[in-house]
Amino acid sequence: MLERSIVRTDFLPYARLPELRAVLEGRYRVVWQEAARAPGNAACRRRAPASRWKARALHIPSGADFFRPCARKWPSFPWATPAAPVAHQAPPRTDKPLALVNLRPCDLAALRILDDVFLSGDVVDPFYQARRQSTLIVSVDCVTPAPTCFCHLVGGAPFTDAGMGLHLSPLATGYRVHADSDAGERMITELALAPPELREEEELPARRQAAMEALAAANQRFTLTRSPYTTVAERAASDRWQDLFAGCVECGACCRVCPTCYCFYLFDELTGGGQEARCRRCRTWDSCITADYARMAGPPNAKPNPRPRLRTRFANRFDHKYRFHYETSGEYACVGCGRCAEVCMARSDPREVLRVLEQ
Amino acid sequence: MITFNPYAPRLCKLVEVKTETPTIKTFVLEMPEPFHFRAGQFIELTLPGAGEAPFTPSSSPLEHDRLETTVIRTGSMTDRLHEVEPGAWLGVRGPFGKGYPIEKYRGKEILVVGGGCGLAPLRSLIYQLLSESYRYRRISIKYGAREPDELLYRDSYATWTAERPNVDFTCTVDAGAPGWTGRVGLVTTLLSGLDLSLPDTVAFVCGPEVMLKFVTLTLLKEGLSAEQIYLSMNRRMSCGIGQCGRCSIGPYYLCKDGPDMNYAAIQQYENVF
Repeated sequence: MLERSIVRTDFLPYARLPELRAVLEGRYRVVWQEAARAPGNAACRRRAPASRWKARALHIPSGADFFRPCARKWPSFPWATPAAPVAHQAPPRTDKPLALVNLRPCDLAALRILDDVFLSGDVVDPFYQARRQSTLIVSVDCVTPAPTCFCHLVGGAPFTDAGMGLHLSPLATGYRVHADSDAGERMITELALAPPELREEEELPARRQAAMEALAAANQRFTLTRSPYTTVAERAASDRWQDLFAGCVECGACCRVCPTCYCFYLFDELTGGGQEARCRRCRTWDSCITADYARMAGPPNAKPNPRPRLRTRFANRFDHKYRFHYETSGEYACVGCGRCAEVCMARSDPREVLRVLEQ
Repeated sequence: MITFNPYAPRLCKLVEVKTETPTIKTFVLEMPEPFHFRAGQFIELTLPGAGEAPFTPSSSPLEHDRLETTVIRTGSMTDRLHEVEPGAWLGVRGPFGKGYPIEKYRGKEILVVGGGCGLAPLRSLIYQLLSESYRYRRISIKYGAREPDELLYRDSYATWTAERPNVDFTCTVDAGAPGWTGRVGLVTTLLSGLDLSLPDTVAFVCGPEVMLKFVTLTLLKEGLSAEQIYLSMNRRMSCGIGQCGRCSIGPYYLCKDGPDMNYAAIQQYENVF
């Protein structure tokens, strides 16, 4: 398992935030997720490096992007002379491990879904596993919601007590710091933090309540009377979908930015020829919205893919996130981060889709 | 250090290519280490430069050093595969999936319905069933192909039924040809008035999607329930381990939960066929 229950709680005054930063940067390659969602956390506001983002200008990347990089190419192996052993990984990097800082509760929820996909089956993804285990995740409770946030509608909250490394909860004069891993605990020890005082802890419920209320107020237009599961399951064959996907141009941006989307496509690159031929297996991320997703060979009268019509592909995305995943795991495969609504060219917003379906 | 990559194929030598029909060939692979699979499980076969695609072994699950898979020429990867000569190296990942749950149906009557190249996966089921035919009250095999030339494994039919009174085989072709004296008609015509005890019957069906659809409708009309029908949904899989998302039907992933699905489990979802 990658996580364990809280091992330690301490208090970090805002004035000592630069020390945390220094300690982190001493041990890790630190990536600071941009903190536009939390005005007030000025010390964390710093632009992330421009590389590696999938759609960098458009949204705040989720931590998921680091564990499922856009494309992975495994080392090539000789094809014509297969006596040579097949290498599965490039030599390990010797530089510092990665620390992702300023992830939000929704990002953590998304990582738990990815963990479930890549780590819980009979066969785990060893590459995902290696990266997850070596990365320190520093997460922060949300204070002010972004206009597209709706984690409370899908069973989440803008705060959490279950971090994945270090979790910071903003209080009046500093952060309450939870260490959820050995690496996180080392950070706290190194900083020699003191446990929070009682009055500091006492203000946490009120702050969290305020964050929840701010989120509810921002979503007033999308008040749902039924659960997303009930709505989507009941409207599976509804005509209402017809209007909802009308603007979709199948760009696939919603899947690209979604922190819980994990579909991928495997293909090969062949280099050289004859006895020198080498084959390289590659993986690239895929979108279930596009017409060539899961395209299959077959006789002329066979369907070219399982869902030839855009209506069913569009509905399937919602079915998967709000219905099928809920049926199998009891949780939505949507964490309410709102990134898809931010990037959609047709301004399709999942909250609006759920609202229209509910009517 | 990662030593096992679930996405990278094992290399296996192609030792023989049998031409079954003008469009179908059987590829015989020599496995570098004993290969164990259950009837109905599938493999991902890689032809370097042409891609990877899911196929179901058509050889007996009791044979572990050789693996046969029967492939119809129908797309860019299978076009290239049909050109490959013995001696080449192909990549294999797997086996994946659950396989046919035949243990559940011992003592029952088994109806095997194949259409076209769909007899290939069923052949490994047939081998498994025949090796323990005494465990089943009846094994009835119904097979349909487009034309007499397209009938798969023609030399085997007699050996399947020989000295096994509880096994029968019937085939039909959609369109006859000069010299063809057998039945003409779609495979669904073999399913009306079945001489099986329907409450004790379970049907395993494999073939093109349109055939699956009409066989299912016919079997339901004949009195079988959805729980008694297993369909092979064999075209969609990619990663094989429930991660890539391509083979979903409702909450199921065919590569993990199938590829042979009980019709009762999937009938409520759109785009089953």
